[in-house]
Amino acid sequence: MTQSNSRRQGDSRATIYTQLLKSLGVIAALGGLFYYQYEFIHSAIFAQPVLNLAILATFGFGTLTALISITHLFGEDRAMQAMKETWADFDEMERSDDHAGVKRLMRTAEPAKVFELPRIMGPVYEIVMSELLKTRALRVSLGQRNSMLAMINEGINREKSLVNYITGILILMGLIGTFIGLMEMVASVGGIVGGLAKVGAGSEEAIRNVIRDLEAPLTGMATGFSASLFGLFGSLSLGLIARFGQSATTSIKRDFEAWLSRISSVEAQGKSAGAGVGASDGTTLALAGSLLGAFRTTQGLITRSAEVMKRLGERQETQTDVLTRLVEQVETLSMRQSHTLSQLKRVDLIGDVLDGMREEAILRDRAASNRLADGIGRIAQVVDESRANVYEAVQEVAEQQRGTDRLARTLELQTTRGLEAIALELTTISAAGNERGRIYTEHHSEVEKLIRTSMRPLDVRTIADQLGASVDERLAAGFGAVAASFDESLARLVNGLDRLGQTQAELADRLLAVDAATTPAEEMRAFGQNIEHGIANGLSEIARVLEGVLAEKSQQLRNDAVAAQKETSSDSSLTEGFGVDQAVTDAIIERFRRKTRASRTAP
Amino acid sequence: MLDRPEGSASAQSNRNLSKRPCCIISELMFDDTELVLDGVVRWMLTDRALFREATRFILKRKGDQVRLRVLGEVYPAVILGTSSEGYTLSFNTPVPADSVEDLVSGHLTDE
Repeated sequence: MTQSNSRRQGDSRATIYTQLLKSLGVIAALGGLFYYQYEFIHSAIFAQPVLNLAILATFGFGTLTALISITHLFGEDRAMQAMKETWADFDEMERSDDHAGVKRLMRTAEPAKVFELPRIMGPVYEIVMSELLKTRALRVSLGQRNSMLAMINEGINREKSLVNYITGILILMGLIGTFIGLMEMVASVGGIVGGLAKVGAGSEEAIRNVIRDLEAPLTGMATGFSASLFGLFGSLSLGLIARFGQSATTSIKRDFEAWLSRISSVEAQGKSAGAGVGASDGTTLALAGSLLGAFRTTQGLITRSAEVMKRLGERQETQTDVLTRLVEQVETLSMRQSHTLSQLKRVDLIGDVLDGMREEAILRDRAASNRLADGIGRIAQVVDESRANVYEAVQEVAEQQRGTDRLARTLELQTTRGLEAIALELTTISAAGNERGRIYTEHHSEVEKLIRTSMRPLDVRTIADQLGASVDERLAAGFGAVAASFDESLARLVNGLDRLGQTQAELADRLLAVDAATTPAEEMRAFGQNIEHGIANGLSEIARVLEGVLAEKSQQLRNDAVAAQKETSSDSSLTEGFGVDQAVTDAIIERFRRKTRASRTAP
Repeated sequence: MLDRPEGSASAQSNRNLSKRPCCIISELMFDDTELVLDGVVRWMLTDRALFREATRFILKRKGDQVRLRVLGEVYPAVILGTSSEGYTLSFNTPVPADSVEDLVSGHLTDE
């Protein structure tokens, strides 16, 4: 079938070439004729140069338009070849089970042929290619086939309308020249006849005048004939070229009709039994094929509709599940909102508690201030008392010091008096010594003993030591009292300071506790952060749920679309570019590499 | 033509890339007609690419809004012109250079 297609494609292109060569042959023949009859044509043109040159220019424009129309047929042919190739590719892919289309993709290694959207086949090309590329098959009903053929006929008529109009214009311009020439001739003949009537027909002068005046009608006849000649000849020549172009166009149209009938027949034969139709002729077979194709299309549509309805039901179930989930999520959201509302109420309560705590803190602050002032007053009192005690102790020490001084002076006085008494006693003893000397002699030993005893030195040091010890004892006693008083005062002061420190520490602790517990800004900030965090989490949860729902919905729609697309493409599955097997990609890449190597090694 | 160095002053990152010949199976989807052409991407830069339709005959197009689907990723683009090598596409949004490098390096046709 591929070879047959190629042969038919070649035939179509050859037909276009043939018709184009024929058109060029006509133009060449006209050129040869112009060259061969140059003098005659030159004189004919200049018999009425404006009109004749206008006719020739119109002919040239028509010829050029016709030739361009024929060259455009190559684009039409390429469009048709593209349709044929695409259909053949998909048909072969389906028959050879090559859903990846490796052979088709291999073509990308070769340069392509670019063509513009054709004028005649353009709408049909778009319809056919759209159907082929979407469904990878071409199911054409009889109505669609007739519609496409009507489109082609409309395009052909539109293309040839300009050339046909120019052909008519050429005839009109020739007739105009003819009429102009006839009018000139009639007017001049009227003048000749009038001159003969005046002068007389038999005179020699009259004959000369007639011969001279006949030049004008002959010129008019030349004008008429030349215009008619160029107009008619140009019209005929242009009509012939247009006919060649029409033949080429018709060949393409017939080729398309045959291809359309063939693929309809192939579709019908491939999908249903066409034994009864096989006996008919080609048209009946094509018609039967189209009818069978239409019937099959209708059947497929009904089947697809049923499948679509089935999928819609399944989708409805899925949507119900999704909606159920959505309702659950909304309920969850509502519960969270209720929770948030309760949290807000708790915030109000906390605010009230905070106000109470604030007032309590103020009261505590005031109480602490009062206690502090009280403690400070007590401390001042203790300090005053301690100061008074110290003063008393110092006075007592001073008094004791004065007593010690008095004692020392008394002791000194007593010592002096004792010494004086001793001296007096010694004097008395000395006086008595004399007395007793006498007695000494009598009682020498006693006296001597008495003298030795009396003469023994007084132990002042011992007395002083004893006195010092007594003074030390008393001083120690006095200083001990002072120290004890100091210690007692200091101890009381330390105790007072300790109590003050404890009070201050307690106050500071209470203030810290109050601050930590009842700082409104921080607590409100913390609560605000909690609310913000909770709301953000809630919104994130909502967004996540909605995203999940939308993603599921879009995935479901995508799956449905893919399923519907697969369904409409008969049994063959769509081969998406990204879904092609890696082996196919590797094979194509290897093909490209071989081509690159071959191009490099080529001289 | 495929080995022609990038000479346009388009994206900065394109200066580090070149039109390395590759073969990435892809699809070209037309927004207005919902037409889908299968073919391959012959080279790809951050802002441009060459899509070769898998057929011997290419319809001349220009200015069409399309979407190029390459390995599951879809890139909106517009057709700049048509040649025998395929459709030259200009991406509406530049493709990240890393993505282009990953795509092209895995499907190079030059050894």
